[in-house]
Amino acid sequence: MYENYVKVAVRNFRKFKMYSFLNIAGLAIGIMCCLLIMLWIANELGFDRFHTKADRIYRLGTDLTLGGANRRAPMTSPPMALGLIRDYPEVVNAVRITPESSSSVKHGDKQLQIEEVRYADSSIFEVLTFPMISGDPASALLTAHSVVLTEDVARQFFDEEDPVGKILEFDGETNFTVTGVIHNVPQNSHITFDVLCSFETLYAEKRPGMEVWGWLGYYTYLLLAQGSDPKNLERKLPDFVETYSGEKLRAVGGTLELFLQPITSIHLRSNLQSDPGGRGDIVYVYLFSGIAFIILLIACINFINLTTARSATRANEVGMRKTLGASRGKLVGQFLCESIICGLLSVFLASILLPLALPIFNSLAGCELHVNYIRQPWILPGFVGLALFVGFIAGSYPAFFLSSFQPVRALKGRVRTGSSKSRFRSVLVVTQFAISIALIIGTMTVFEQIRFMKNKMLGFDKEHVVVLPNVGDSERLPIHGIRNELARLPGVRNVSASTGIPGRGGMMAPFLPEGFSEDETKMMRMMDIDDRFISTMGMDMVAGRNFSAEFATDSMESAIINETAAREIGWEDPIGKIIRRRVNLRAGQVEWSPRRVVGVVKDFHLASLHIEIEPLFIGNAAHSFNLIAVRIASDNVPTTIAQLKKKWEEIAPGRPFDYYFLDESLEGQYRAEENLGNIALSFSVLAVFLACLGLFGMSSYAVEQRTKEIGVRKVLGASIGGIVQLFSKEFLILVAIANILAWPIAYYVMYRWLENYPYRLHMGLETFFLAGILAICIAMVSVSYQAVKAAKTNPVNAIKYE
Amino acid sequence: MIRTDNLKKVFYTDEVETTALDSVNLEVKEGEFTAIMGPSGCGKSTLLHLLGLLDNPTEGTYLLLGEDVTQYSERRRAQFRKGNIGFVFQSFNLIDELTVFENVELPLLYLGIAGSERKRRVDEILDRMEIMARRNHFPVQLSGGQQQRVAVARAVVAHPKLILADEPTGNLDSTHGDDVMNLLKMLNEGGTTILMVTHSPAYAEFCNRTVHIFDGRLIAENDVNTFHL
Repeated sequence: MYENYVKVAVRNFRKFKMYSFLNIAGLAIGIMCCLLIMLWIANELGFDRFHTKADRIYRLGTDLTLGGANRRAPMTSPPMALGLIRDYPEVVNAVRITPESSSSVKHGDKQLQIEEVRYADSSIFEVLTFPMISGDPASALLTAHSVVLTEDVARQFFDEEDPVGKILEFDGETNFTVTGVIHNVPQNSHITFDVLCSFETLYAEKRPGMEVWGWLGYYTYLLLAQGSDPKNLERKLPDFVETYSGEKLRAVGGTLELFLQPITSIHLRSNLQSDPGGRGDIVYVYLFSGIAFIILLIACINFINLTTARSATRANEVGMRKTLGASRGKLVGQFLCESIICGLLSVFLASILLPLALPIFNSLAGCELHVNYIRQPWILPGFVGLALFVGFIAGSYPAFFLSSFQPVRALKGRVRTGSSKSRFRSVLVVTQFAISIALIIGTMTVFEQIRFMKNKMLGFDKEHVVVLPNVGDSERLPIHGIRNELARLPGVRNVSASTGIPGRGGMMAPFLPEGFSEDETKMMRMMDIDDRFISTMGMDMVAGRNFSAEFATDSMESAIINETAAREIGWEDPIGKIIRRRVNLRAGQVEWSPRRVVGVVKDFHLASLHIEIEPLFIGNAAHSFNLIAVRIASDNVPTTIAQLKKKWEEIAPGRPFDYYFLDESLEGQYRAEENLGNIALSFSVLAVFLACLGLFGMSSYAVEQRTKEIGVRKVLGASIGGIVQLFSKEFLILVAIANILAWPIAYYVMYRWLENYPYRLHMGLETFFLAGILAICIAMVSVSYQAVKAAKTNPVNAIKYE
Repeated sequence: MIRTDNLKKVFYTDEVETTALDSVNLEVKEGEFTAIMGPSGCGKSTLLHLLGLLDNPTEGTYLLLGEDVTQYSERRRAQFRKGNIGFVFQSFNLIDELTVFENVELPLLYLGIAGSERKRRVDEILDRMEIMARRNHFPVQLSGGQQQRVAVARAVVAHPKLILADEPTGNLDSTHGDDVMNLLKMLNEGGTTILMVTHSPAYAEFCNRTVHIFDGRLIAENDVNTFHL
């Protein structure tokens, strides 16, 4: 029996090539999108699951309230991990890792800037899964000054040679012995690094804070015993805090809570300060799941529409089969079988399209997804499952619809595919277009918001500023000496040194403004700048003065604050007021070092526009400067860069010349939005395309059905325009209705999305009109093609049709 | 074999009510070859559809093979049609996407007959109908007469007890028409009961008896045997 079904299906596909193509191609595109999004979602959900003990690994977090400020972060102190292993048997192991830092690393005459250097306990290879290529994981990081390289770094320094036992010089001062090489960190790891140095090194070098219980500067990952309940451990943590730091906390009036985060939920669900960048968001996972479903739905709707619209051509067959004794169930089975075959063909086509579309998707979405049909064994059954699912969803309605024909009427060709059934189809077309229009509006809003953020006045001039990060003093010159040398170059307009630069946040610290008591400290961002920073960046002072070399006391006694700080503290005239900066002397001991406010800088965006401008304290302490900003002339930029490089090599021989353009780095802050926008754009284009494909099929069928009517109308004097209007009108009405439905939904969703942004555009009606007009034009094109074709046909041909 | 009492069929379209058949009392015995005649629109085809269980009557009762099938559901009617009734239509109603062989095979498929047995039976009937050479052709590749032969083959392949033919010669020229009538006659002589709607008195003469319908009512009946005596 099934053989018969397959035969009829295949012959029908061949006979009605265009409809079959529309059906299969439409479904294939829908399925491909769905697969792309599913791959992306699988990747997001699969973050950190490659650790073989992932279900038992938890990151320790701290919730610290001190001086009226609260900080919830994954930052912990070195003694915590040791204490937890000692005191709680369910903690079987732990690894401490430092935040990443950048180092200049040298071997022989090769010198490279390594962006992500981390220090980690040797237990990292027991707790986490980073397989080693060479070296012994048990001992690799046991001793101070040992380093494990990732494949890429090893290859850059040593090519194919085995690096184990070789010496690397870090930042021109410390030698590390290479003790192992591991595979590159998988892209779905929230912990990333290029090289791992032994944590022991930090003890050997007597880094500050290693023994201090409250020095929250490290990540701690715990491995719990098999079967132990993390909630249970969490309940014991307050006692742990009390035992080791209860007294000290009470002395400074602070509270500290510890909590655990499963390693597998960090990427999507953690939202803590100091979380490493590039994290995902579970909201986007939901959002894109929704989009995947919607696109598949649009493709299925096409199938339903085309199949039911064309049901009349199958009516005779249905009638005859029933006459010959086919039960309704058998016919439902037959038509479902056909749609499932269609589904299988579409999935097959989609599986060919997928590897072609994947690189495009990767570059748009900024991710690295791979598909390998052989290596990922779930794919084949997954595809078959999807084909069955799609075939069933898309085929059910047509199957029940077609099989419901009464044999006598079907044989007489009196099956009505008009009125109520076409009303159902109209609802489906409206749904498709409403979805498409909503997606267009969403995409346009995302891009407008990005443009808004990129073009917003930031309070400084971001153009033509070259930043040299990680400068520090060189062997030959202190940083202000380097600054002065660079300032002499012809293409350079201005140079400044500082600890911070827009786009690089700045530290958060407690301050005590004049007139406030010690338990009313204010959390403020802080940075140190030289006297040229304000002019180099093109910032404005609104009151008082800038730092100046004329005032020798500025570096230790003066401060500049921003407008927001003045407003939040409540100072109408801040000039001359004292603000104290907190200095930790020893554990538990605090000193408040006074600064006199000499100026107020006009508010500028130190961080991205995702956050509101925060109160800012600006000091003038030269000893901590670590970056240089160079404002260059707008012409001959490459020449100026070459001059800077040449000068740099004179001043700091052997150190890599590392630089970036400020405007480019600031634009990079909105990469997440751009990725989102790009994904939304591609899927809305596809959604619109699918909807048009459906409309095209529907209109060509309508034209086919009404060939005789067209002929008669033409004989009676109808013009081509009149005929086109006749056909386009009803479809355009549907698209217009779709607009009315889509607008409020799109408005609501995008309004909620924009609420995430403190600086956001006002959604104007023009976006909605534009999306609506766009949809109408696209629909018009897909409908009128068929209508024009029909209207141009010689009327005699049309009449002969009967 | 067939017995109807006061069979009535009313069609409702929007606001118009049309009585297609009214008080039809008809009896057909096993082995009979009956012609149904009458002008266009008199209800011949409707009667045939009711007798063939393609539709339910509005009123009256219908006994087929001793069973009251009057108010059977579509599912039960489909079940009953299978293997019991074969149909031949004026417009052949072959399925365009199936070959000659596959079209004829269809009733056997729905009866759930095994593949080898189907092949044997289809080939046998194709042979008998002299269209074996065309078994792998599609309907569009055949002449009208050949198509009707296939339709007849399809109607009889499951050895139904009753064949209903709705103007089987209506779309054929006289040579092909005679051909089909000879086929039906041959089947009837083999014991199959046949009811045939026709406009042609000449073809009605192939039958044992002729039933006349006018405006939905049975008006006269000629028994060929007595009529020709």
